[in-house]
Amino acid sequence: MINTYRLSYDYVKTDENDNITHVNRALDDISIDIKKGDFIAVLGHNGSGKSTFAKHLNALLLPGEGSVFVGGMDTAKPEYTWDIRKSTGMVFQNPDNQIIGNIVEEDVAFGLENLGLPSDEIRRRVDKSLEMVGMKEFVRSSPNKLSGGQKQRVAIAGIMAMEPACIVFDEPTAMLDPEGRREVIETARKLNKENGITIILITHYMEEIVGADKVFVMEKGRIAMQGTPREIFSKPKELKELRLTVPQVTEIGYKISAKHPEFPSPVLTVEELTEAVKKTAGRKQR
Amino acid sequence: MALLELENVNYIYAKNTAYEKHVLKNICLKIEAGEAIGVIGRTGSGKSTLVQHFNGLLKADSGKVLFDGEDIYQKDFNMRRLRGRVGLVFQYPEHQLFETTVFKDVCFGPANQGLKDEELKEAAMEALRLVGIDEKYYEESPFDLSGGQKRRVALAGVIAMRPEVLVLDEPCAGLDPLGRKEMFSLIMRLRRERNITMILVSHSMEDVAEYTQRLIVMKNGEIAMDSTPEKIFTSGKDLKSLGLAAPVSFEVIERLRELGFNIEGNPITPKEAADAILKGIYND
Repeated sequence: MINTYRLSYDYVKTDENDNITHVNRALDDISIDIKKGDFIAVLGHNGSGKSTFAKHLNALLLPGEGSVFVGGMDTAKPEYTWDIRKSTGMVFQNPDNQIIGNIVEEDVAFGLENLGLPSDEIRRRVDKSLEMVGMKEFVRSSPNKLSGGQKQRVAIAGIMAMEPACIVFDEPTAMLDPEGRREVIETARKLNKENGITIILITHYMEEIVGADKVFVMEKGRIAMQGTPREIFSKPKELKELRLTVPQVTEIGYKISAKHPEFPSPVLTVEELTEAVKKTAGRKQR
Repeated sequence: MALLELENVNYIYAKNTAYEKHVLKNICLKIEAGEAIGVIGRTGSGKSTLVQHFNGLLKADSGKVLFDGEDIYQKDFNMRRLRGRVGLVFQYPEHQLFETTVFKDVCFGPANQGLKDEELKEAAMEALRLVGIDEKYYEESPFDLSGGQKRRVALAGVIAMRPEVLVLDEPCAGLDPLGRKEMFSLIMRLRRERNITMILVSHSMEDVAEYTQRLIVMKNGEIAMDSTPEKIFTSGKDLKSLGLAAPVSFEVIERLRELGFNIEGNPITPKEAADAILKGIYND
């Protein structure tokens, strides 16, 4: 679905005479292969290159060196740009910056109208996408009246209406309340499971990546760690050096296993933790 | 006497237009000096509007706001002084940096408060030291700093006014896990060293559980609950309908109790939860 080959990118600063004064390597030799239907999480501290990487996935930025292919299309070739943007949608941090319509259905239809689709097809796709994100009943609501989580889901519906193969979420929950966070992450999971959409989720919330198929951890524009969530959270020391952490439930587990080595760490969910307690504490309890 | 007191405060957004909205409804609230308070609730519940009344940035349509016993809407009230005593750090405060150098930016607030020359320089340097910005950055453009550094410079601009109350609206949104930790250890140090009253608007139940002793829960412009984090998370009220969730540590303890394990107390942070499990279940 998405391949990058030796992808590098520099942010270049120039003075008033266009002389280069500073070069900041934001991406450094990244080669990865994301398969159709994967749920990928990208972690990394502020400034590690996550968002720069994300912007390469739908040709908002073009590779400085190396190449990026989306569905076999080279992002550096201008003739593919629109097809790439149709197939890879992006959801950003601030829901208020992404909503443009006065009514929910108008907002979802915006991209479709730009494609020049017939109106019954637009109607069909708007209804279907709002249904997918669980916002059908708000079809005629004003976006102003929605919660943050609902606004994000409207933004996602706008992308789904374009029938994409892939959605990139760039910290979609950073500004949301706990309920909004849950709604957005559940929507992403559902679109992945039920509609086979490839998901790339960039986040600072460790709990959100527990269900991912694969995790990439970025540092200084490179891939510093990769693996399943369990593999990643088995290395709390390395994560800490990369300014990251483990989910709180995993942290509780580690505090128990530090005293009771038979306790199986890492545990990634509340269920895993309670199961592990049942197993290891059963004898001691009574 | 409370440091800050709100009496029947009402605030209506865009009054007499089609967008009119009653954002705060009869808010009554007392805040004592030295408290650490979390303000939580759904997006749009009125949290940010509420805290912007604390330093007179928004003016209530009806009701009273008292600071140190003084009515801040009185004609001769020194509003400028209040803005220095109650420091407000907005969401994404780094978006408000505007000066040509880091040092000038931090000087802006205290200069407006009337500080000059050496005194001004001292206040700015002290604030920058507190937030951990090295002297080598003082003459740099704030726009050349990293995201985390920018946010600390913005915070320094408020701290330099030496406020007694620090109101922080989502100070950690968008920061990486270690960045969050650093921001909070900085704020906690300020509390220790200057006995600052802290009001923290947050969506992170884990953060308010760890760093505050009192929670104000907002719902549709009203105070739905006002109590300790322990009581609020254990109250059994429908947290979900308030846009909230108990911290995961609390959820772990609840689940273990349902399974018949005997655990004492009301742990709400990972450390408390782990200690309680080790003690109650593993007999450590």
